[in-house]
Amino acid sequence: MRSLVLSLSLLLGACATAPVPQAVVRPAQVEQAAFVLNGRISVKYDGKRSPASIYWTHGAAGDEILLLAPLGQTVARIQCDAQGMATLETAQKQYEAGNAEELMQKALGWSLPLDGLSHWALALPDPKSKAGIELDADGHVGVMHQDGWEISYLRYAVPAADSLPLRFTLAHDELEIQVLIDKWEFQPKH
Amino acid sequence: MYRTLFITLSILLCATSAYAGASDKLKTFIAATRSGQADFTQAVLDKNGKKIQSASGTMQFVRPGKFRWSYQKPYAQLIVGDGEKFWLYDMDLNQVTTRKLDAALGSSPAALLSGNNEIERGFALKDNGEKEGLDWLEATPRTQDTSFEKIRMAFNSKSELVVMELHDSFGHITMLRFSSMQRNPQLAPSLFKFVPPQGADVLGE
Repeated sequence: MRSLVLSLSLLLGACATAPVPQAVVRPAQVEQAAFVLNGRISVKYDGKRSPASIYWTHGAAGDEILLLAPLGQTVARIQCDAQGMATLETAQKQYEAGNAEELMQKALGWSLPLDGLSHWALALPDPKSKAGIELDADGHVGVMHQDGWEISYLRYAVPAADSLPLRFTLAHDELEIQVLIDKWEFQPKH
Repeated sequence: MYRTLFITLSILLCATSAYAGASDKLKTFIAATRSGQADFTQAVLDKNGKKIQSASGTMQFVRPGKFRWSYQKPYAQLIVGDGEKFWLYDMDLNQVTTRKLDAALGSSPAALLSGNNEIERGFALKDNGEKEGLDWLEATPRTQDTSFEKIRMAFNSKSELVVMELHDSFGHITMLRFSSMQRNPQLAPSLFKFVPPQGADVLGE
């Protein structure tokens, strides 16, 4: 009897947390949208590799990036506000600086180019600087060059030209970052 | 008449004193489970209780130190530990990352479960009563070098581990729920050695 009640409550719990359908194309006014990107990154640098799950909340107030170990524990939390002030916390330490890239470099030995990445993740160039773009047959960005980075798009969600990417690689000097996106969510920016 | 009453009473009393709290059940579980296999679901909740990750798969272990966690959803990922090093294989990326079992990973749920008495040795155990038909305990680390502030565990009436909740220093909770637990199954040693598939990119961390 007890197990019936337990299984029932498990079933009900499962229904209540059914996943929301995931976004596959960019919202109409993408610069006005806040996003949550749920995926995996794999950073290759100096002959070594760091794999992690990434949970990135990007909005008007700034960014929060959580890096999780394969078994779920939080490795680092990076937060930066709209002015660029950033903090990075690991389980042992907390770092602060006026620049998220510098922080990551200090704490992790590599850094994500956050400014560019918030556009590149959407398969768009950062409007602040010039970009070289090669389109593929579907009208998707195939390869983009900007700010010294080469961004190669390997997989899109749907054939539509405004499709969100699901997999891309960032390369700059010795650093190679693979990004795999398992789920996109959008909300209006507050 | 009195005798019957006496017998009834003593049976009741014995039954009560035989009641095992969750920390006894943990010790029983560890002592009586040399190997194990179970299905699991894993959810990570942020400090506001929002679910930021959910996954599921199967896990196997053989004491001491061997484990194999195979994630099927939302993506295929395999984590194998042989007691000294571990392999992480991401099928989509076709990448294998190897690493020595260090302090950080040593306190992961996989290592804790497959360890000999790491939980008893490294954590102070406190029984936390019964809830949802399960006996709960709270384990707090004796030293500061683990990445967890506390671990909560729940056992069923058969002393099987059903829930493991890991609270980290960020206020995040990793919730593991186990089902179809098999104790002491025969598990092939080859399950705990990982041979990278041909063509996979293999690198150390």
